[in-house]
Amino acid sequence: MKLNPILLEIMGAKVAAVTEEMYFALQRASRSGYVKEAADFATAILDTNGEIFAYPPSATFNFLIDCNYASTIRALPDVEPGDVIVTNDPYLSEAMSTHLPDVHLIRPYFHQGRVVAYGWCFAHLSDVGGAVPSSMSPAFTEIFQEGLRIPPMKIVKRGVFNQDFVKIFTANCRTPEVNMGDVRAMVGSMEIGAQRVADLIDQHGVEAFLTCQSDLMNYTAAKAREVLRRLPDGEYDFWDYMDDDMISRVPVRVRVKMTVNDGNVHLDLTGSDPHSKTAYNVPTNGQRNYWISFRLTSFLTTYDQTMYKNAGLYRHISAHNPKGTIFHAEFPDAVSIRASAPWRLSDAVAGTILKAAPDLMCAVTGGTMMPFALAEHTAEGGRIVNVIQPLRVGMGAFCGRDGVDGRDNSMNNMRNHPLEMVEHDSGVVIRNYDLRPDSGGPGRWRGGAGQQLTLEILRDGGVIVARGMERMRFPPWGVDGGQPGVVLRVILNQGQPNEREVGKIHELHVNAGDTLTVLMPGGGGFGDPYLREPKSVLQDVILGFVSRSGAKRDYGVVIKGAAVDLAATKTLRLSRKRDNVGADFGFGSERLAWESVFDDTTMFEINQRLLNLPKSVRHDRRRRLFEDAVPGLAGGTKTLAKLLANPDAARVRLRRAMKDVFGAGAKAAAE
Amino acid sequence: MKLDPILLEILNKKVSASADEMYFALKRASRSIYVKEAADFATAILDIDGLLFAHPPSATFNFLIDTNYIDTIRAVPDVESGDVIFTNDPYSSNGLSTHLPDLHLIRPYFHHGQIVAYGWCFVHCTDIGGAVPSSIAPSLNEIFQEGLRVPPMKLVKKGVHNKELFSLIMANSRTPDVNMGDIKAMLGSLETGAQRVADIIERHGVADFLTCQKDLQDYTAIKARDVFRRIPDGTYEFWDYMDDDMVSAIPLRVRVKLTVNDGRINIDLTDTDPQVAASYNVPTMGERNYWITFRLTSFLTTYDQTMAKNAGLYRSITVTNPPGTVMNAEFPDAVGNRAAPGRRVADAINGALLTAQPGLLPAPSGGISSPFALAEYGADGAERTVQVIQPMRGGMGALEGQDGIDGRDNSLNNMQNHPIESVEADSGVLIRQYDLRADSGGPGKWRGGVGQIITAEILRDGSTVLARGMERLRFPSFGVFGGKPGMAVRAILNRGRPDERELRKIDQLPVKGGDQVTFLMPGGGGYGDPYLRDPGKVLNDVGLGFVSRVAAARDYGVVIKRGLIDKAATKKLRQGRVRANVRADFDFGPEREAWEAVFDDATMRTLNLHLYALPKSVRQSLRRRIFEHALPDLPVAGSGRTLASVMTDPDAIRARLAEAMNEAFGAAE
Repeated sequence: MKLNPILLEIMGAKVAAVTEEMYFALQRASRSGYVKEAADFATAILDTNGEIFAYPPSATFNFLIDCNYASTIRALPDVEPGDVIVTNDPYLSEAMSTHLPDVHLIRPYFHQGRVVAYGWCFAHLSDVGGAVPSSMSPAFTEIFQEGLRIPPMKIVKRGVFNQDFVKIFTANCRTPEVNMGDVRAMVGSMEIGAQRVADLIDQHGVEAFLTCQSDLMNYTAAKAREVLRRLPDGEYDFWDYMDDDMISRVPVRVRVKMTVNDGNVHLDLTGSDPHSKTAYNVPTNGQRNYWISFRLTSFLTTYDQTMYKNAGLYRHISAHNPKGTIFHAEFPDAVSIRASAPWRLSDAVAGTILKAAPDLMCAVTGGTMMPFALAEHTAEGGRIVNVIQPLRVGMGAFCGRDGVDGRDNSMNNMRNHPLEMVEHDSGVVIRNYDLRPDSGGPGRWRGGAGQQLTLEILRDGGVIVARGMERMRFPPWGVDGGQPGVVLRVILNQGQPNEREVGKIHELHVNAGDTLTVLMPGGGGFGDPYLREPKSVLQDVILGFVSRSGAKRDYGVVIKGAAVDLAATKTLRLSRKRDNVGADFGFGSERLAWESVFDDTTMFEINQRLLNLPKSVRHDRRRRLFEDAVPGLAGGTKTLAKLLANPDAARVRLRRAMKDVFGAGAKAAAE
Repeated sequence: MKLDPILLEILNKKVSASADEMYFALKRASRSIYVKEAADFATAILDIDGLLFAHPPSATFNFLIDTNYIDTIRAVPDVESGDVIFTNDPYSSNGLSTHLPDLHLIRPYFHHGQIVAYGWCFVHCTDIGGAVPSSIAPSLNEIFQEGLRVPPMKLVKKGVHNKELFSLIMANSRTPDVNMGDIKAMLGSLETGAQRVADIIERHGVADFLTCQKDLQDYTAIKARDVFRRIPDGTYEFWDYMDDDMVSAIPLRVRVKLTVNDGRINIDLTDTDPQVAASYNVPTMGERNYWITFRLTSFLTTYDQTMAKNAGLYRSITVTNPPGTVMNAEFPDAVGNRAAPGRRVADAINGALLTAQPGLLPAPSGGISSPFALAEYGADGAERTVQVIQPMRGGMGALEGQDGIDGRDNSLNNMQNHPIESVEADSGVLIRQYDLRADSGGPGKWRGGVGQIITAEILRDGSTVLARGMERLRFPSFGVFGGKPGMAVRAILNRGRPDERELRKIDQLPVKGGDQVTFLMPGGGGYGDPYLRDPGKVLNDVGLGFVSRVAAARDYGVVIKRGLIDKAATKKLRQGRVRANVRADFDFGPEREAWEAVFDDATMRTLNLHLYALPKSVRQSLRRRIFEHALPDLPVAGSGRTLASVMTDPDAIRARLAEAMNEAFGAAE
């Protein structure tokens, strides 16, 4: 580091303050629920190589620091002062934006004719066109269905808005006014950044400003490596599952091998399942990307809260992200629900850390989001789309501490929407908004309980859109004897004669009087629940986190009246068979059933052979393979435990199906 | 007219030759099958008021002459020499483009700093993004699903390409290179037009050039009105049906009232069914538009082939096109399949004109265009292509004194046949059969033309068949004055195999290698009593395979034995017929008769009157609820179940309908 520590600290605090001012300028000027309420936006300042060196301390999330800004900057070499670059396209920006609703702006900051930094901001816009309101659906199969693709281009030229762009942009969104409000807020935010950068240079000189950029990143890199050194050297592998790919019931596995060597961490995604036919693909351009590193971002910033947040965080993290997997989307794969697979990857990274150092990581959170939105016609015949609530799961339990209830540490960037606002903006009445009893994974330290919400629809002709629904089949797992949390459920008209369990939602048509109930999963438990303090269980029962029957069944704690029945509890706890206690991870019965046939080795073999097939047939072959091996998987509602009650027979069917699907005849048909 | 007739005729030839040159310049430079093979494009020159005064005589269709160009011109007021305006958006162009794949370009032609004309051209591009390959699917319900919308703006500024617009168009299409080829071909065509306009002005002077624009239209307007005077004065009503609106099984009615007064025509679309939550809405912006007038365009240019084709054709035509109907889309209604109701309006106008004056028009043609397309991955599995396999055709309706033409369609004849060889080279298909469909023409004294039949075998897994515009699966084209209807459309997957399956209207049909898709296209309606058809002609039809031996006896009362007419048996059969079987006016077939036994004109007008009064969101779901209450097991067209089979008790259905309407609207009546 070249600057003296005191000046560096001054500069560090100043540049962070600049981004902070940009952040609040954007939030306060915006008109959208996504920005104002859910805070799904960010601001930063990039160095001349396109790396973030200044990030707002108040931002609700920070994992986007690990992002490829340089490709977009390079795409427009002929920038001038006052130009602003816009893009939302994952492929043409080489994974700066990772789905189309995220509109990114970059503005070069000039000093005496040369670029000395870039202002950056993004906001998740309410709608950018495409086949469904809000522009995201797991059912999409091509990016062309997901909305307007904006290649990197100038939205502002020398301070003047590109009116042609504005016309096209507003014509291709369902919410043009709100979007333009956000875009103008972003442009304003970067103007503030420009002024503050000029102020800084005025006071400290351009050399100090340029030097502090790399110094700050070097400083953070050194500190980050210190945190990563807490992980013992070695190789750790772990995997987790998405429930399915929406169009079939075949689970999708994500697999990571973490190699640690003296504070250098390498994540290898080899063995993750292939591209999805649906919108679950993650555009990473085959590189390290925030969707791969975000669990490590939290890990780093939790264990050293003194670091400046900048690209230095990732200097000692590398990734191997081979072609063909769901983490390496290829044009024109659909990507709008790209957060789902990374959540499972994040959980898998958590698993590897738990394997490496069990006291450094908590059990997994509920691990799904449900920012469900209602598209409805207004009385005047127009159409509006509003997010009802980004519902939250519970956090996983930590060694020594219960999980936080109704909160999520895996992607905590979305805030709660005030119900008053929701009921004012949308034709709904919220009938229930609460924590979900018994949803936290039982453990010596209990997993946090998820949220639950019931709303009533007030107008006919509404459409519910949701994304990111997961953990409906494979629950968030427990650790060290802890049990999994309870899975996600969505129910239409609960308690009515027309009650219906709803699966993953593409578009759910609703009419006045319908009610929709969402029950969010809890986090995984940590440690043997039978070792939990009975008085903690009593407290949970009194507060409604655990039911009386749950206390008995899961914790072996008998509660009578408002007190623990100590004698009965002792008898119950002693009577348990020891072999019921999982030694390490509590994955739940569905995953165990699945892996009794589709174990790690088998999946490696299947994936290798699938990747040899052309992409056009890969999805369908993969689906056929699993559906032939597991009759009843397609379209069924039976549990995997039931479907795979006889694993030996399933393995025989699998071998036969592999021969059929990968055999000589199948290969010829593919060519 | 101010120019002398000889100079006017010279200028007429010169301006239409310019448009023709633009036309071929575009066609030859394009790389897309839509342009090169199907000829789904046009060029023209517009006057300074945005009215079309010069149209290429070689163009495969000419109904786009009746289009609102001026609003797009006005939307970009600050044009300079070398600018080119672009739009594909129905709503912001006020109906210049009527669905998003139609890319329209307008270039002002300057002379000494003054605009003296506009060059115009459009192509239907292969794909402009959106929810499905080719950007058109019946089930889409908002324009946002149908692809990139480009409001009127400059594509070229003083000869320099608008980089941002080009990159947006490229990024938002599945076929960017082919589209770019089409766009560049259009720019070239407009440049050709500019040169020719300059040449004409150099030769004849700008004053004569400007005068001829108006004179040509005035001349055509006079001649067009003379054609219309063939129609007796009066008011003529007619309606026809689309099979359903795709999202429900409910038939959709279009209704026309034609009022003729001394060669002036008003087309009133009042009481046409409301807008639908599918892509069948027609963006006319409540004005006259080519989707309303195109049958009259053919009528005019058929009866006077000497007219210069220009906006003068429409001077004596007005429309009443009230809000709320499917013929008047409102933002953000989906519009991709706007041709389907447009065709039923054409058939209804056809019927109205036949009511006014028998013999003036043929019976309606098969009445659908279903460009059967295949979206597939290449052999390497990477790139996805969309190719039109064949723009399938019905047969033409019979005319008094003449049989309908086989395998051709006069209702929207803008699409040429695709050579099978180039189809098989470009797409992963083998054409197993491409033929005419026996017995599909409506029997009549003059037989309706037979439709086409095609069977394509799919070669690669993971392909998707697209076929928009499928109609007439339920309601066939009607027969006239004793003639019978043509055969309805059928689409069959794997015909003749154990996994054979009858298809309904296709939205996106996933197919795998080895699958065979068969389309059986409708025939045109027959004209006059088939029992009066000359047995020699029936024998000839049987010999050529247009009519089967069985049908000759059943439909025509002609008995054929060993290649010859059995005269005695024929006479006996023909005399044995009960006369009551012969309709004096129109024969709509049993499905429409069953439907109208309950949902008659008066009932539908009452129902629609109530529905129009409601907000659109409520209207669509309520309409559906009312029909579903009245007729709970309404079969989908193409499902094999008929309306006739579920409507055997019209009184009971009427009672349920009244109940549903009472509940919905209150017992007002």
